[in-house]
Amino acid sequence: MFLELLRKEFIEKKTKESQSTLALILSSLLRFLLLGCFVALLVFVFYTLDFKIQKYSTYGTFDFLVLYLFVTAVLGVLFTMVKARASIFDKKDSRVTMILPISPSTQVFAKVVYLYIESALLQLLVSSPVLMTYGVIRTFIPYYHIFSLLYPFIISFFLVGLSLLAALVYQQFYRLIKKSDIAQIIVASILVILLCYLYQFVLNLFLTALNDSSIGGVFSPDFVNTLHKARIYFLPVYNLIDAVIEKMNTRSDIFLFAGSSLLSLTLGVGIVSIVYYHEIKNETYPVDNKKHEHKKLPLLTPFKALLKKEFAILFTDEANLFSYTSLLIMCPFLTFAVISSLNGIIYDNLRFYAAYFPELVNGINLTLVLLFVGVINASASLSMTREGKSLIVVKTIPVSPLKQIFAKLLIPFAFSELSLFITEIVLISTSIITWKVLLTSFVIGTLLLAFSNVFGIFADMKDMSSKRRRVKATLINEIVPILLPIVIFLLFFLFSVVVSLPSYSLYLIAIGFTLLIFLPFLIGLKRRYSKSFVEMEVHN
Amino acid sequence: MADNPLNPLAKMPPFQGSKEKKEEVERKVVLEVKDLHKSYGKKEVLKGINLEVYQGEVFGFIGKNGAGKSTTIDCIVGLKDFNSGLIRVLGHNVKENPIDAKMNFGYVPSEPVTYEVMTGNEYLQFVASSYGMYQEAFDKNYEFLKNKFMIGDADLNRKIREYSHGMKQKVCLMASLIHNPSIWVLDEPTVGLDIMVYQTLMDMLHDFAANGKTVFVTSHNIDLVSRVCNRVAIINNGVVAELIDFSKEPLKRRNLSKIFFNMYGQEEKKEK
Repeated sequence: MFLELLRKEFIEKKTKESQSTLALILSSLLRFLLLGCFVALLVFVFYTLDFKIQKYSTYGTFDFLVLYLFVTAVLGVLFTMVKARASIFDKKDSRVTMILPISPSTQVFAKVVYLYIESALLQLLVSSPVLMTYGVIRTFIPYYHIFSLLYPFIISFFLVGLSLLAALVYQQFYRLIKKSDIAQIIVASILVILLCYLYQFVLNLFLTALNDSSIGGVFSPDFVNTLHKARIYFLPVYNLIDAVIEKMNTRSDIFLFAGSSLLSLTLGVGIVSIVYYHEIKNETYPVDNKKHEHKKLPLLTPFKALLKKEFAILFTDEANLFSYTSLLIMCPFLTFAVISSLNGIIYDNLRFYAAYFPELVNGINLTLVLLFVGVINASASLSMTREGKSLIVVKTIPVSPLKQIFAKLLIPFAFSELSLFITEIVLISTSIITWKVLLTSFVIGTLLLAFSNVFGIFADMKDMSSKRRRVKATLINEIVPILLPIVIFLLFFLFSVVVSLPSYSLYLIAIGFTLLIFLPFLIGLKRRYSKSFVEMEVHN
Repeated sequence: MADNPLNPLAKMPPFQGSKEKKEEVERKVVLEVKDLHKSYGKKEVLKGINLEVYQGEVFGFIGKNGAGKSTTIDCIVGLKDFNSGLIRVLGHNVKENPIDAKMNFGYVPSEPVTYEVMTGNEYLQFVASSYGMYQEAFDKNYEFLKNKFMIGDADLNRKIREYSHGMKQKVCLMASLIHNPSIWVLDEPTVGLDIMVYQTLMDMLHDFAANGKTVFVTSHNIDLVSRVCNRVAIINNGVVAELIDFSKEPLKRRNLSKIFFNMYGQEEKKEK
């Protein structure tokens, strides 16, 4: 029974839709390839940084390893915490399992084992390769490499316990902010800001590793000294690593690690079991004791009502908060951070190429602006999918398809366009981009946003069509915003280096090319839209 | 609120029960389904459905799971496209004049469907605005339905995602009637309703038809269908296998479940 419960946890969380065998093999291969690339990149960056730190300080490398493993442990706790909350506080799941003859403790045990496996797999991906690299550089004995492989399974005892406790706090916090849409937007924005800072730090680290100059900017002597003093506080990662590599206080390290893991796991599992049992026995609906007076409900025109509805779905549905709303807010900062970092490294190292390709930096800047704006917008352009079951309402209200589609296009387009505009203002006022890049990226960005939304909704409707001509909306919707900026960069390269056209004509060609590929799509759009709306089938 | 030429219903007084008007009602066809065919890929689900539903009646549409009840309703209300055939709602062809057709019905799906990010009030406001209702008509209908379904202001001011299943169903029922439709289409409407609301719904189905309007209801609950319907169509194998008019064959009202089981029993024997 326990194994069945465990299987259920994995099936529930992994299965989205049934795939053919070929599609399954291809997607598995692609996933495997991407993971391989990620591990290779990780190892490369770690190896390069380790090599550079060695020049500054002999003990710095060990401290850096401890810091890295501590950061991955913190990320692991956050990752498992999110999974733990979704698994433990899943009301639908508990309604099914509570009527089965299975004790709550078995249910909790299955969930804990599931979380443990997920946590260990994550650590196996991000920690083991780095530990092995560290060992290979220093030609450690094979026993160490076995430890590298076992590390994820050992550290996960501690991480899962802590994640379970964190999930309880997270759930309380979630319940608190769920009551206010504004609070949700604020919290999501703060989290994205933090992620942006983290992203910028990692990017700088990567660029430093890539750049063949000093690493003083990131790892100053002060930082290295502080890190050395602070490492003993990176509990219990430090104890575990110290016991195996440095072997300074092996016995106390082992006791400290085992003790903290046992405490974390016992507290986590114990408290979660009590809360889980309490939740499934006392499921209640929120009671509102406030006095409510009936407010006048002014009616709107159908179109205004549709716009208001689209706004509510896009900006107050928690599913869109992280994928679109907060990214939209952070787009100017994110774009600025990435472009300024990349410009720095290009000016430092690629001046030679700039002589042959005068518009290299501008071309990269243009590509990046379009990439960020396009990719962020792509998460909002599948407006029909976003409706979910409410598509029944869309199909049954007496409002013309074109009016409904227009309302669906207008909201994400208007807000993405606003974000693009603010991004451009930020970039030009900080002299990161030139006026030529600003104008071109604004025109092409506007066209890209318009096309992405117009095509996204069309492909979305086709995906749900009764005629079964599947366009794979999500795939095309994700590819176009990535492909277009890359093609524009290649055009820049082609016409600048091969044909040697003057710079202003490059920008005109880029705009012309975008118009050329987007405009044909507009032919017969009205008729095709109405037809697709009718053919779109909703499952009751 | 601007005049909406498409919505003559918006000007009508709010729907309230009045059995005295029943005699005045003519037997006018309000919903017409002719030779309706619908396939999912190669599988033909509807193989020529023919129906005529009259003004002022409660029409039941029953059949076993997968017989095509919901597919028929989905084609009528515009959720699904159909391969061939004709559907007219008060003379409006649903393919040629879908907006005019939709103006005339209120639809309750088998699962309560709303916008969960909205409050109950916001959802009702959205639906009424979509139908281009007049403010005055909306206010009257809103008060009437709120009292009928026993929902308080506190509940209607809460987000729908916080509602129980029954509460969501109540809001769906309210939304389906808020614009004062001529035809009330209900797909399994009683799931999740408490006994008080169940009884209210029964009364409202009667009152709605008695007021010269039409109810088209599907349900697995044979007892409900036999109690409230004037006529019943039993669907089997993609066609209407039997049409029963209780005013002409009153005894069949009591024997409806027997007729239903006999039909499907014979079907299963044939299959074996």
